[in-house]
Amino acid sequence: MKRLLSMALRNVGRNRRRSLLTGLTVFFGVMVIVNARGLMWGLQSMLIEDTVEARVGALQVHRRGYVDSADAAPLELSLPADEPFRQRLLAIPNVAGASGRLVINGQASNGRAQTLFVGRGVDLAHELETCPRSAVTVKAGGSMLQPADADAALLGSALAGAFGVGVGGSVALQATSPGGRVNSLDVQVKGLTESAFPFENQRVAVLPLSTAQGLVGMAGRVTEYAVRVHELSRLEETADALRAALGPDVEVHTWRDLQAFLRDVIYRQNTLLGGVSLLLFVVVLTGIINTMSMSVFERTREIGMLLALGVRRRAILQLFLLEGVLIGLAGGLMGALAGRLLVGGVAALGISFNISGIAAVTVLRPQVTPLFVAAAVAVAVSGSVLASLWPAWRASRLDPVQALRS
Amino acid sequence: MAELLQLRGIQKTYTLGKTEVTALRGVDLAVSPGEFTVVTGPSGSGKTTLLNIIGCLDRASAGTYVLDGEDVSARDFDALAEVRNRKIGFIFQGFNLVPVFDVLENIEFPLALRPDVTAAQARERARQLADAVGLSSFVRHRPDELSGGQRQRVAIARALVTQPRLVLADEPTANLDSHTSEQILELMLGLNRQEGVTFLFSTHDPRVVAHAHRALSIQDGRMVDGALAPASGAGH
Repeated sequence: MKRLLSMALRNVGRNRRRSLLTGLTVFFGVMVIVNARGLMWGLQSMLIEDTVEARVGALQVHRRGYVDSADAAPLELSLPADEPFRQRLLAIPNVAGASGRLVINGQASNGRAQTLFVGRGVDLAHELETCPRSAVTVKAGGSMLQPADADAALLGSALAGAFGVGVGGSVALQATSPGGRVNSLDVQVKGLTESAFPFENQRVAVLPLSTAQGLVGMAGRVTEYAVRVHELSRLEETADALRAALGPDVEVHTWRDLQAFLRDVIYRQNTLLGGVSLLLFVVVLTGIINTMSMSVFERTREIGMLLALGVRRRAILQLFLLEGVLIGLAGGLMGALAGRLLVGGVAALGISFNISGIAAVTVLRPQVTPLFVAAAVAVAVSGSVLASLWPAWRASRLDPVQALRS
Repeated sequence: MAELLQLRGIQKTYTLGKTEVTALRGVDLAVSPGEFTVVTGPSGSGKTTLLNIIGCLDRASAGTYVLDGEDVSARDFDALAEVRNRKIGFIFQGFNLVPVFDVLENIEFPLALRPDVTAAQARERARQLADAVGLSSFVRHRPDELSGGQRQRVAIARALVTQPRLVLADEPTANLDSHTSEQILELMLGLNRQEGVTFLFSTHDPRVVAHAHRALSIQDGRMVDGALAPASGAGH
């Protein structure tokens, strides 16, 4: 095997230009896949963080049955808005923060026009612990609600635009209590929010929890708790621990359960990237097949000589496979290294996105796991074996008499 | 003396498309150890086919072939590879060296294929043969750095490295100038005389024929000489 390896190494160096071109194909293939994956993961991570840290929370806790009828905002399915309940959530490993919310449906009006709105009453003392980036969705010129604020609101930019109301203006909110009593309240607009999700812009008003509770007559109650976790990778196990601790009357959902749209977007992105990667893989394989076939064609006489000297067919097969593997390994390793360095470099610099109207900048940082990089090399090498298999098999099946005559 | 190889009623038929071509039509041949034998014949007479069968590179369609006491007629490809490696040395018209190996690596290659031979043993034997063929100063050279005559010397050394019972040479001087051909022929004759190596040539070269113990002639797939009778000069 040592001799075969030495022979394969020298054979790869024999037609340097062709081996180099094939190696470069593998190099670029692996580098592009590592970078495309890095960008995609960076983008998805940004979207997830935007969702988890600015709006939804990593997990949400509701009374059982709430999520199935969430569109109707069923106020009768509520939870206690007290510190002992919050502490039960915080006691679960990996839970980093919890904040109660009351979600209501109602009508917003400026005296001339009215529209439906979804009010999200938030516990301002703990909301930023749970969704630390919620403040950054407030457009310049406005400000985040403070714990001392009452009868104030942040309106989705499109919702505010529908009434022609700006920061400092007021809007009348009307909602119905669980008992059927209709309440109305004037709130001052402290800021306008901008989100990548149209629904947030068109329908949502963020209110202090006490304001929302007062509007629907539900003092001391919330409809959900948003939960922040230390490690998103342990989300499912944390959700299970919460379910076990809170019992059957309560349901726990992850952001994936709650944000089906985002989950589907990520799934489609991954599928698309998988398809593109597969296409690239086929192109690389074609290059290797071509190189190895040319090599077999050019070395037919030499193969005949090797067979004549007593080299077994299996050894000929191994020789050509080894040559393919060496090209794939060299190109794959260098492509992975270059890809990893590029991902690291771009991540260190960051790609900034200035979303219109938002003071804070969102930064995309590509990321890849060492496992993915190793897998890319492994795929390059196994692909090289696969691509070399047919030419190598042909070489090993040559008739020595015919081969020597060629 | 027991015959080194014995062919009885060897026939070889090829199928070319829908046509059957008979290359050998019942060849009988016996060669004794130490013989220096040439096979001559016009192109298409069947001499290369005969050498391929004797070299275990091809199998006869009919007949029996006994080499060194073993019937190899019905052996499979891998078994024939083993026979080729252990019992037969090849010298090709076009030298056929491994271009990425240097002289020593080329010479030791067939011996290094054997699991019972260490790398050091193979290297030592290759050095001895490089000396014997006058290439001790060129052991680190690659084939493309050698002249035609030097390459053929490497091929001869490689053919002898496994100490084979038989060396087959397919027109070994065809690609060489007359002076170099003379040197190569002398080298092989010397090895035949001193080491008792059995040589079987296919050649058109009259100088080679002139030095042979026995010249066999083949025509239309049949031996036209007394091939079963080993020459009196054999068996040094």
